[in-house]
Parts: sequence; structure tokens; C-alpha cells
Amino acid sequence: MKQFDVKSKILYQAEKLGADEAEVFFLDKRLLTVRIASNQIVESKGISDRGVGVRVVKDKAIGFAVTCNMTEENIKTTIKDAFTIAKVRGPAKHWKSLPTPGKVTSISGIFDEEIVKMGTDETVNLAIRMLDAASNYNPKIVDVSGSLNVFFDDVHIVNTHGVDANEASTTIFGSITTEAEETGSRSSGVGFHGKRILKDFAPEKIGQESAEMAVSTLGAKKLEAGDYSLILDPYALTEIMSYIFARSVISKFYQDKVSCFTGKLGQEIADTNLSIYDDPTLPRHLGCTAFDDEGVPTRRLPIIEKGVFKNLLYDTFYGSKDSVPSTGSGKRTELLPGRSYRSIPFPEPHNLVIERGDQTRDELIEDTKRGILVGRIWYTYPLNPERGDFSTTTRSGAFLVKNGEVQNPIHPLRIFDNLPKCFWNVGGIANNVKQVAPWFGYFLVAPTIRFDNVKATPT
Amino acid sequence: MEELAQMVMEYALKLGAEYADIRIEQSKDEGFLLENGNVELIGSGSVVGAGVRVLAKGTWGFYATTLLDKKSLFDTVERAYKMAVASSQRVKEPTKLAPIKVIQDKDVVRVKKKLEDFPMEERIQLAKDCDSVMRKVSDKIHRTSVSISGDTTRKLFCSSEGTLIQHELMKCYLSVRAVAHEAGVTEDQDKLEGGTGGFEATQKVDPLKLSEDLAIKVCELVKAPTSPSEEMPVIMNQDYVALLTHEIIGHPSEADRVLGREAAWAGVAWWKGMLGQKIGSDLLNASDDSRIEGALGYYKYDDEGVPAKEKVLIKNGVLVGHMHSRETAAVFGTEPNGGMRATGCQFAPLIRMSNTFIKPGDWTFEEMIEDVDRGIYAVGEKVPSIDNRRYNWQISCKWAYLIEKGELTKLLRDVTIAGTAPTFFKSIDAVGKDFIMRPLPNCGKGDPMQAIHVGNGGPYIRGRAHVIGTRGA
Repeated sequence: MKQFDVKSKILYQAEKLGADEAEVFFLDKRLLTVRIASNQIVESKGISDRGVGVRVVKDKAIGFAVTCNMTEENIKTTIKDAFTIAKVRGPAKHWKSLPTPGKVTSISGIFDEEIVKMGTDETVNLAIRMLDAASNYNPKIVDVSGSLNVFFDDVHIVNTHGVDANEASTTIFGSITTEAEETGSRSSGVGFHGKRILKDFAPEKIGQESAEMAVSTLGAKKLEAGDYSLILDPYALTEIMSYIFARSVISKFYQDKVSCFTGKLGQEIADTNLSIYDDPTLPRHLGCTAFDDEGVPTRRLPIIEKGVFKNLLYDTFYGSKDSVPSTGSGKRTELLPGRSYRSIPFPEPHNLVIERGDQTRDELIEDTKRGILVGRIWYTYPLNPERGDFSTTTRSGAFLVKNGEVQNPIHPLRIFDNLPKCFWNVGGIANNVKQVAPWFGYFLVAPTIRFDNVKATPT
Repeated sequence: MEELAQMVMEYALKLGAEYADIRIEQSKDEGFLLENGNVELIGSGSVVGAGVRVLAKGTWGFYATTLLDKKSLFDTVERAYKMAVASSQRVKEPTKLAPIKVIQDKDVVRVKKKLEDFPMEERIQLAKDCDSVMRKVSDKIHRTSVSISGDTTRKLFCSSEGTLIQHELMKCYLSVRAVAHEAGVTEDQDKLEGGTGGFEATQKVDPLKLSEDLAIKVCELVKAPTSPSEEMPVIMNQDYVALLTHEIIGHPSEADRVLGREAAWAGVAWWKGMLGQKIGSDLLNASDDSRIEGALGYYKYDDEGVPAKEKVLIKNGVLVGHMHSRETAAVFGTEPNGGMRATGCQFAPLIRMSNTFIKPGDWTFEEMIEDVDRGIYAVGEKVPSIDNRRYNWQISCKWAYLIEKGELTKLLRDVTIAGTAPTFFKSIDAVGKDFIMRPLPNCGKGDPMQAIHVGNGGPYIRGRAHVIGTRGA
């Protein structure tokens, strides 16, 4: 109740100082991280962070300021800072308004009191279970590293148009990287698993998955440069979707004409079997939320549907540039996982979903003449974002596929290719889906996908 | 605040900590982005907080808070202690710290032009002038952006061993970007200037000249062809060398990577166990030194209170040292060299580069070009793609020139240079005398990810590598 009073007071003071509109974003957040390296727990870290971001609008000029010091005096200074910034910045002519209240439907299974109550010992014990599952998988496992992240946040957004949105959520995810060794050969594997509810979380699965990938790729051989069908498992897809795809459908980059899909909204841009959504409404899934960081209700947003480019991701600011409403994609993020009161909203996906196909992963492989199957890629960068050229390197779980059969594991490959070209050359989509996330990127629910005619060269 | 910090440290020892430290920070940042002549984003933020690190029962615990009252800080140290104790149940090799001298000092960065003396309105006007210079170059320029930002940090470091250091740091940056488009071809280039210090850090090069040169270059590049793909001599300019040094010398020199502690995300180091071995040509000398005033990675003491010094990494082609924390220095049986830093008090420190560079030699650029029959001159850093051991590398350059019979003949775009670290290091046959340190504001490492400011630099260098024309994959 006290928090609510502070927020109402800020809105009142902002209006008193002459704001046409004002918004308060209040966040209380706690994060625990347990790090595993060299086969042991090396560090446990935590942070409690609480603060407020204030946005004021006067004569279409927008100002934003933040503080984590909630004294009355400091809050007054923060409001004044927001006004000063608005004045310096000047009017954004396209600006329409902060969001008005919409119908918010809460998402089930995104908050678990058990996670909030988790103490340090329980958190570390989960990390130990991840570690042990990898270490004990096979004597060839020589190194286990990774981390477990557990966080909860409580967000409350109010604005002068009556938006009043409150959500508490919890998240737990872990990843393990293993290295396996036998005479003359070393390989690596990765496992990832994340949930919103503690009893859904299976720490052993992460270690086993990672160790299995590492052991199965021992004895890798060099592969010749050439064009191959590239079969990417969900974890390998995350970097492409986070670092190459997402920016192409964010309205800001599309407006700036630095998207590789510039000018193609409404047109076919991919194989008709490819459908991609941003779906923050999936119960119990990572990244899912009832409203975005401006209080706009979220919805399942088709981005590409049966190959047709359907929607861009908009927040209120970039939406007003194109005179369209926000798609509920305004996010405030920072380096730490979860929401941030320190950032202004920017359109980003909550939870990308690639629609599953109707064949099994085995059938997809059987259907491949000359391909490479990959479990993890890394160092994925856009080379020319406006063309969609990208570069990446395979890191773990890479095999040669020949005439429908998985052959020997293969050494790292460097891949130079182009996103629009890959989307046109979708050779198959499997029906296995998994939710994954890269080191620093967006959550993704995806099946295994095959892109044909991709250029790969040994590193 | 010093007294409170010392009380917190005493409390940590009372709880049973073998060692503890606290960083109390107050930082303020402000900046804006001007796009196509209009202010697109503007923001300012102030953050206060404290991060407490505790070593207990052989493991680290860390906790951070944004509340600086006595009760919150005591709660924070208790939490950090509990985290260490909880982690310790599976310790195989208890963490030991290499000894350091207790220090009490204050380091205030020299600032000529304070950011606050240069009001936001004036900064925006400067950005508008840069913008206008770029647009005047050609109507092919269809997008421009200019950003100017700065941050001030006051930090108090206090350890349970009695070290007490106050830091006052200011950093400023200016970045310009121009995008040209012609006949279906788009070229997008940017350049960042900045470093530690006041507004003068952004003025090492005249911002208007910087903007104009960039705009002229993107207009030339839209018409330029891409390069041939072949192995050949490559001369790299200082900006390119800065990123190359960052990726294939700096990162694998972090002792935590060498020990495999960053294997999950950042990766490992191919030269593990090779200290004292020859890994490059006699001409290759590289160091890391945070004491370079004005460089973006400047500091006098790291986030463990260790005095900074030159960390010699490669001497005459021999791998001679790594960047260390007190913990890794103990493992290697060497002295700590001040390599620990955190992005802010909310993060635990990691081994990070400060200012990492290849040392200058005695060649002039003209001498380096003169005896190349056919090769590439690579200008500017663009996109790196490196394997997890930092062995295979490829980095695209902003643009390049073909060198034919000792002369620069043709401007080229979309050029990527690739190689393996030892083969390339051994191929270095000329090192220039013109040294430049560049700012790199977003080096990522850690879990959760931390992006940190570093400086990287070097002179012109010449070696052999694979050149790849990458246009229109």
C-alpha cells in the first residue's frame, strides 16, 4: 500500500508541475546466481534492487529519470530531472499519448511463492544437482561449468490515463557446458532448461543433456567447405533468432531501413511453412507476462505467418511514429535478467515462438541428403544488418548428415550466410519444441529446423 | 561512509569470513542520441548501491543492494556470507588470495572540461553541427546519428584487510554514424571517440572533421567492389589492430579463462600451459596497462584494491604473462597485477582487460606498403567471429584497399580477414611506429553478463592472413 502511495504521489506531483501526462514504473527485483566452473561451485551472487523510473510528457516533449533512493526529496529531484530532460529534448512531433488502460488478462503459472522463499542453500543445492548430473554421466566428462539463475520481480506501472498494472513473477533457469575428452579428442556440450514454477524445473536434465552432447561428439573429423543443409536444434537457433532475426522485426530498425525485411511488411518473405510469433501469453513459459513495461496488455503477435510478414514489434513511442498502437512490446531491459526500472521502453520480443512442423526430428534428418546437424553455435553477428548477412561458428553438438543418416561428429565450422535466404530455403521443420535462451538474448520456443544451401567452411 | 564501510568489514570477519570487501558507488550518467537531426533519445540516471564480496570456507559469496543505510549493509554482508557458506559444501580447491599491501589512497581522474560546464543544449548543438556536416556531403547520405554521453562515478573500496581507496572517475564519448544508399547498395559506418576525463576526451579528433570524413567514406564505399578471396599479406591499421588485440590477445590473457573458469560462456584460451613458449614473431610485443591517462580502461587500483601496473603479456613473441586477480595470481604463484573489475557495484568483479595493446615497432606505414606486391590494407574494425579458444579468428574491416606493387590502388568494401592465432602471430613481419589507443565501450563477459569499458590499441602491423570478400552471401 505504501508503494502505491508513493506512485500516486509522483503522478500528482508531476501533474502539479505541469505534465500533460506522466508514468511511474516501480520495480522490486531479486536475483540469485550460482556459478559453476572447473567442476565445482565457485561463486554465489545476489542482488536486491528496487527503484522507480518516471516519465513525464509536456507539450509532446518526453523526459525520463530514475532513482533507487526513495526519499521524498530524492523523488522530487527525479521528477524535476525528468522535466529538465523533456525541455532540453523538445517535442517529439509524432507523439500521441502514453497508453490508456486495456484489458489485462493474467498469465497463469508465472509466479511461484516457493521460488520467492528459496534460500541460499536450496539454490546452491539445485546447482549441485545440475553439476552432478553432468559429472556423473560418463567418465569422459572432464570439465563442467555453467550457472543457475533464480529471480523474481514485482512490477507496478501507473500513468495519468488510468493504467494501473501490477504483476509479480518468478523465473528459474540454468545452463551447463561440459567438455569431454578421450585420446586425441576433445568436445563440448550444452544443456539449458528454464521454468517459472519450481516443481517444473528439472536440474538433472540440464547436466545430462550437456554431457550427452559432449560425449557423443568425441572423435570429430574435419569437414570440407561447401554448401550444406544446416539443421539447427533449438539451442543453436537462439543466437540467430536473438541477434539476427529479432532486430529485423523491431519497428525502430524497420523505420530506420536497417532491417533486412525493409519495405516487405505484408509480403511473402519466407517459405510458407515458416510461422514466427511473439507469444507472451503461454502459461508457465519464460518471458511471458500479462502486460509490457508500459502497461499495455500483451497478446500472441504473428510476426511471420505462413511465410507472410504480418507485424512489426511496437512500443508506444515507435508506434506513434507510424500512427499505429503499441503491440504490447515495450520492454525495459538491462544487463541483469528481467525487467529494469533504469531503462526507457524499447520494442523487443518477450518470447519468440517458431511454429512446429509435422515431421519428427528423425524424419527431418532422414530427409536430408548432405547436411550438418548443430546443437550450439556462437559468436553470431550481423555482418550487414540491412542485407541480413550474418556470420557464426558452430561450437557444440555438430555432426555430418549424409543420405538421411547422422554420421561422424565434425570440427567447428564458420558459417557465412543470409537470413532472408535461409528463410526462403527452409527445408523442413520438426515437431520437437523446446524453450531456450542464449547468453544474453531473447527467450525462444522452437523446434529443430533445416535451412538448405548454407555456406560452411572449416575454421 | 568510510566508517560504515569499515564497520561492515569488521562484521564480515565476525561472521566468519576469511576475507571481505565492499564497493560503495554513486554514479550518474547522461546522454542523448540525435538521429537525422532530431533528438531521438535522451536520458540521465543516477545509481547508488553497494556490492559486498565475502570469502568464507574457501568460496566466494557476493550480494548487492541499492540501500546504503547501516541495517541494509549489515543484511547485505550477512547474505553474501551465507552465499559463500552455501557454495562451500562442494569446494574441491579452496580459494586462496595472493597477498597485497594494505593501501589508503584517493584517485581522482584529471578533468579539463567538466561535463556539467558544457550544458546539454551545447552538446546537442555540437551534435546537430556534426549531423549537418554529414548531410551536406551528399544526398546519398540517408541516415545520420550522433550521440554524446558521459558518466561520473564515485567509488569507495574498503577491504577487511584495511585497504581503503576512493575513486572519482569521469568518462565521455562521442559517436557518429552515417548510412549511404545508392542503387540498392547500403553502407553503414560509425566511429567512436572518447575516454577517461572530461569533455576533452571526445575532442581528440575534431568532431566535425570526423563526421565529414565518415560521410565522404560511406559515399565512396557504396560504389566500391568487394575484395578477392585469397591468402595474402595484410597491413592492418591501428583501429583494426585494436579489435584484433582485444579478441585474440586480450581475452585469452585473462587468467580465469586460462584456468577454464569462464568455459560456459566467454570461453577458454588455446595457449593454456604455454607460458614461456614462443607463440609469435620476435616483433610481437603486447601488454595491458590501466594507468594510461585518458584511455577508456584507465584506473589506478582495481576492484580488489590492487595497484595497477603494466601486465606484460607477450614479449618478443614469447607468451610471458596473464591478467590476474588475487585468486588466480595465487594459483599461478605470481603477484597480483590489478586485473579485477566489475561494471558496477551490483556485479561481482571479474578479470577484465583495461587498456590492452600491441607495442609499437619502428616501421613507417610507407615502408610497410612499399615491399608488398599484392596485398590488402585493412582499415577499421567491424564484426568479430572467434572460436571459444580464441584460436580461429575472423574480423571484418570497415573498408580496405588493394595493395598492388607497393601502392594502394582500389577501395574495397565488405572485406573479412581470417586466420589462426599462432600462424598469424608468427607471420607478423613489420610493426609500425604510429601507436593509437582506441575506446571500446562494451566488452561482454560474465554471468550475468557485464559490459565494461576498455581501451585497445596498437600500431600498424603487417602479417599474412586469409582475405574473404563477403558481399552478398
